[in-house]
Amino acid sequence: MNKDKKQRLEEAIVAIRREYGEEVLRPLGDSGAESAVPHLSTGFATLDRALGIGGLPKGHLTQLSGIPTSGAMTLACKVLAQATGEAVVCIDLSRTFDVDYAARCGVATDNLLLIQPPTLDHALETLTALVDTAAAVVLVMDTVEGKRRVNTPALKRLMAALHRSRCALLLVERAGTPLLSEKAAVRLHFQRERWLRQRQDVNGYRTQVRILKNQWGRSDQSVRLVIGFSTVVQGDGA
Amino acid sequence: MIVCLVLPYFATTLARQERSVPQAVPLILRSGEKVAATCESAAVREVVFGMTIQQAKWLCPEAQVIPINLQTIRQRTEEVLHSLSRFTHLIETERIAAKTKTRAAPFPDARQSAVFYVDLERLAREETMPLAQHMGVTVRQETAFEGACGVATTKFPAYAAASETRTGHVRVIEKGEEWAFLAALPITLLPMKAETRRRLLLLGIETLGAFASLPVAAAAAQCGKEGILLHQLARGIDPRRVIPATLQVVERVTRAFELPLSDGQIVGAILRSVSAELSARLQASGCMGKTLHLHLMLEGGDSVQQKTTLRQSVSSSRYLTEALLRLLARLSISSGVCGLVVTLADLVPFSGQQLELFPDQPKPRERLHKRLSSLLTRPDAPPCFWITTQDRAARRIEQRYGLERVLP
Repeated sequence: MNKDKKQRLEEAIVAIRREYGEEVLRPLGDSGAESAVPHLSTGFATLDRALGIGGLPKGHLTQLSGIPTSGAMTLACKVLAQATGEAVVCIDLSRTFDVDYAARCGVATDNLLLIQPPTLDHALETLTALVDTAAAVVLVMDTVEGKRRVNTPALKRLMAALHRSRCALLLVERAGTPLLSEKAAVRLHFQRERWLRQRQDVNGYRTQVRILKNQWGRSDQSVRLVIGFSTVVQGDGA
Repeated sequence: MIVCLVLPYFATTLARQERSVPQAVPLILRSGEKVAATCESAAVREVVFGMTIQQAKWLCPEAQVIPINLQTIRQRTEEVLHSLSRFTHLIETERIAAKTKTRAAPFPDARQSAVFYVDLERLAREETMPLAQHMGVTVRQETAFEGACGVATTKFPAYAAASETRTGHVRVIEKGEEWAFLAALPITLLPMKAETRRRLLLLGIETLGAFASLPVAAAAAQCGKEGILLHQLARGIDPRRVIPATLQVVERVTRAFELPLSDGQIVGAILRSVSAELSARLQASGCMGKTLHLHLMLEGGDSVQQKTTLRQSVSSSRYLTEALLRLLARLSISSGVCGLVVTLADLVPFSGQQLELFPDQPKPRERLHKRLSSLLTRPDAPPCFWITTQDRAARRIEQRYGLERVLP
């Protein structure tokens, strides 16, 4: 870009910011700057950078999809672990939540409330009441549950309450539910690439995270993460 | 009007002051195995920057060779800046590089001078002369450095005037007389690259007058873009403005020991007293600092240093002591400690601390429980559980944690 064009672009940016506020424009990939969007770090630096705001947004819905053992639930646990000093809630529709693994991911189990509602409607209703009080909520949902009809008014109420709160809502499921996908500000799809072995034992796996939707940064990019099964879940991959 | 203050052989003068080296002994400062700076008597014997110590010793066998201390040079440069800042804030100085590189000299000219430009803006000529004299006197009294002053309307003629004047004197170049004054001076005064200097000397251009008499196009053809500026400077036209240096406000405590200290505990105890003094000074000035710098001068002239940026600005003696002891632990000290300098930078005024507005807030768990209570009274309320830790070391995973049902 030549100097004249660059200068004109900068002038236009200044004018837009003056008119509509400082946060209205932000260069993509500007991860060095402190993000203005409240967020919780994912615990994976490369993914935080790729997301643009430094993590998963608070006050919005984030959808994590992928088959079991693809890293979606691990990421959810890592986000729960970041909410230190605050209560965190896990709504376990699929009844598959592993407390021991969550603890190994660093989740403070003392402040973790586990709710096992019978249906998605119950879950939405409970969530609407709780989003004000919790720092992060993970809704673990089964595919079967997602296939059923989502109660639209209940979802609208939940989204309104969520936007008012500073709670990060994470939805973990096998395949994206269309209505919830539409409401999600960030959508991540996890695909396990290969198992990592040490001699005969499987000690982790490498997964590819594709950013399908991102309200604050570039979508359609992917990040590779390495997740280990040892005592602590490991950091970023290549 | 611009006043240029030139302090020749700055590094060696400073080293002489610190090490009490007699004037009769030539002094060479080394960086590794190369010459970093010399005093006047060594320079006369053609000891120059970048030469190996062996070559320098051969040229000047009676010279004393000691390591260069860039940290101290930078500190003393700042002190001169502080002295001059009484007159105006428009002071420019050449920053001393963080490390002496093999090819770039830490000082701009052959006399290894520290150069300061003071912009007096539109001050009348008759007032400039006494003010320049006063500046020289102030710097001499406060920092013990004696320099020469040059006064002109632009930077380069002022610098040339200062370079051609004896220390302790002031020389004024009147407006319009710059070219005439500069014409006879050597071309080496120009701030140019070594290659450009070599090229001009090969062409037989030895004075500024000879260079200025060339057409601009010829200067540009021989020296590139640099040549155009150099040609202007040689003609007494200097388009460069004085770029004011940012004066960093720091608190500094220095300790020098008669005998080198080799006991780490004693150094630690001294650091405690230093932090107490630093803290008292900060309390008196109402400031807090964030960047802490510890510099130890070792036996044999070597020095080691460490720097840390604290998570938040502090003024408390306890935190300063802790930070200094951490820095001390990081340093690898190979010989006795002859002196130390502790610098606290990034000073900010005391800021009000946000007190907790609602200290009796319920805990997260209680807050959540309160909200749940209305939910759980419903007949179709979902089962809610708190996770309880039973035995983290249990071999069976299901025995490690338990679920405690939340009751309405």
